[in-house]
Amino acid sequence: MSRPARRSGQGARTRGALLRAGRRVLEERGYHRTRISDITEAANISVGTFYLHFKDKDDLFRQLMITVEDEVFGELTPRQQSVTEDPPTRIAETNRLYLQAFERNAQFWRVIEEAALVEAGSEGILTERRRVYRARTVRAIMRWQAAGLIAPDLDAALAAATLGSMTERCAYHWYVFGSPPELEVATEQLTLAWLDLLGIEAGIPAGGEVVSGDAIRGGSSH
Amino acid sequence: MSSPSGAPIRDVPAAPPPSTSRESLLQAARRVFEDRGYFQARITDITGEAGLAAGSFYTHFQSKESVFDAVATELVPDEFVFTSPPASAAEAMPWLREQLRAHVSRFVQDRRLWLTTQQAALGGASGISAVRDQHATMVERLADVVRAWRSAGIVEARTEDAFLAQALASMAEECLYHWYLLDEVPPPEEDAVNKLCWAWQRVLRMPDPRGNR
Repeated sequence: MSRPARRSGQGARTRGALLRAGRRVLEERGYHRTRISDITEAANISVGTFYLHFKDKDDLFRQLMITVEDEVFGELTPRQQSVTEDPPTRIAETNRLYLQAFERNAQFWRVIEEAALVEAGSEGILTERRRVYRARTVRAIMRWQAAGLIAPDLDAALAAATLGSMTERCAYHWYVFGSPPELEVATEQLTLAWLDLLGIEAGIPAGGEVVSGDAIRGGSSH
Repeated sequence: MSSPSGAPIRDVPAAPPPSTSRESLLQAARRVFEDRGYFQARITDITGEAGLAAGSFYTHFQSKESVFDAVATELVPDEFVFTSPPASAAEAMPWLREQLRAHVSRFVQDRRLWLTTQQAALGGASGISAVRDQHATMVERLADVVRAWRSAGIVEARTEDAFLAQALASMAEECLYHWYLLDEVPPPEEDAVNKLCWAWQRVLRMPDPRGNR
């Protein structure tokens, strides 16, 4: 937690400048190689002033992380909650929002992952966030099961864990390391994998190409 | 650095006694990287661990990065895993289960090295190529399997082959990372195999010999 530094207009501006510079430097140098003096130099602020606003590098990093994580995981909140909302549409929208938010923040996400691999604390925060997100997926699957859209005996927790992992890691390889596919293609392809795992025969409506292979498939539950 | 999960770290598979000082350095480097993490590891830790003079390091490697690159190549999947899939539907699932079993067991064994490689890559140091190679190898092999099985009518997934391979490899990697490096209590390997088998089979839309889907 940051010290309750002066929250006067000047104080808030300084803090904002440190956060912006911190993000820039962290993205350039990575978590490990970033020094507080790199941040203060970039912000043109003295090292002493830094400590009025943040306890240490990790404190500043956490403030940034919360903002970015809220964007990446938080945007997944559905616009409207409706039991009847068609699963393919909802799943496609969720995947699209996740990929978009991830792409926008890919550089900082890389810093988060780097810190998470080393600092037990950051790892804990990521894990916590992921748990919230997974729980939301589990609830959606269960609603769809109750509505008869997904087989009742499907293991909702395992489905949410494996599908969530799939989307996260694909985004990571695409946006942090690789050459990402076009957003709509990536969204469509991931969504089809979700639908197949969940045993939902319907394809992605509107905007989506008609899904090939509406194939005859042995009953999705017996 | 201790395991984040506090779980005991299984020993690296008993390596044959090193025949050369290069080999000793590689084995020592792996242990040091796994224990201390990429950024904390120093060259003197490695030579110390190998019981060699500090100067001898430079006979074989230029830098920490170069020895790390050499160690990280050990992560590339075993030659035989996910290659030569059977062409019949009846043999497909059992074969896939076998491959996943080998894959899970290998991950569990190599998990510390895997973690170190990810750290190094994310930290902008070395290791990016190791991360790419390891993942790309797995994706390519799975893509071959998927293509062969689709033309044999064994796979009916709606996802395209290349994406499918990427999706399956990513799912397995992230799940194994959570289960064996983050979770307090890692699952028995057979559970992990069952879970991944279940998920892969569904994403691939493969027939289950027992008639379940």
